[in-house]
Amino acid sequence: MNRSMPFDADQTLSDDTLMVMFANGDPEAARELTIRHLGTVVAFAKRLIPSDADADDIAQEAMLRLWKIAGEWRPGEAKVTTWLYRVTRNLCIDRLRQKGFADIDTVAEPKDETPSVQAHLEQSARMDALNAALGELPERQRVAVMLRHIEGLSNPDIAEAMEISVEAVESLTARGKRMLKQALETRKKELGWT
Amino acid sequence: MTDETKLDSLFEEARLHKALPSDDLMARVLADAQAVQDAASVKVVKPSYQPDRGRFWDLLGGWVGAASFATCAVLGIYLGYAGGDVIGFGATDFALEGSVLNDLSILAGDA
Repeated sequence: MNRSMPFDADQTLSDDTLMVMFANGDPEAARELTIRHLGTVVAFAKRLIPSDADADDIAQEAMLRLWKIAGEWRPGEAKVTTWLYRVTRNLCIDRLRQKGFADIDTVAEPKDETPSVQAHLEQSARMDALNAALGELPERQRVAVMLRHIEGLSNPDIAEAMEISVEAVESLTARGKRMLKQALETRKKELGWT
Repeated sequence: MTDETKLDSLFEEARLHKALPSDDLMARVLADAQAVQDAASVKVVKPSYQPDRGRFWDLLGGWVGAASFATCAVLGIYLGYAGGDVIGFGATDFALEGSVLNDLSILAGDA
């Protein structure tokens, strides 16, 4: 039995279709899903957790859970993206608690695991400032703002990912954005804002 | 540029500046996927539970033995209830005293 389908340039398969294909043993479906989503999951985890190594571990775990659930995946019930955001966020919260961050709203600044500051481009300095400011927000506001303004999710999708109401999402993003502006005020130099 | 515009510009920059997963992480994730698919494709045949009737059947002596056993069992129960009653088997009658069978001639085919 031919377990794989050739992927051609014009073929755009939905995530739901890829999940079914994965469950049927198609290795190309795994590769396509990984290419589509792993980067997003890693980036999201790195904004929630101080350690890049931990973020990679969490991203791997989130994808593993996706593989394991593929056989039970019901097309149309949920989106792969929102499901991954939810799982990744929960894994990050668990990891932070394991590491002794009793208050997950206050997470230490990312450790400098990268080369020296001189090696950073100005863009990286702005991103560091943004991530630091986001780190000052309460966890739910931080997640809502990130999903809305960086990941580009709609409010209903954010509600599904965070398992809250759309009204709660709107409130969190509004308050979170206001607090973020205040936090960024102290970092105008790194941001290049005059 | 207003604060709102600056913030939106920063968000846009963050969207484009997403960290790419390392090759090592990609390999680990794909290896996990392969392992899950391999595990799902292995057909585990669990033997269905079947009581070990073979040995017991042999001990009984097959159908002949089982039929004889059943016949004796029924006869024994009946005799126990019947007590000293007379039982007729076709043309041959047996007189029973207590639960003791005195004449076994029917088994030899005698009248």
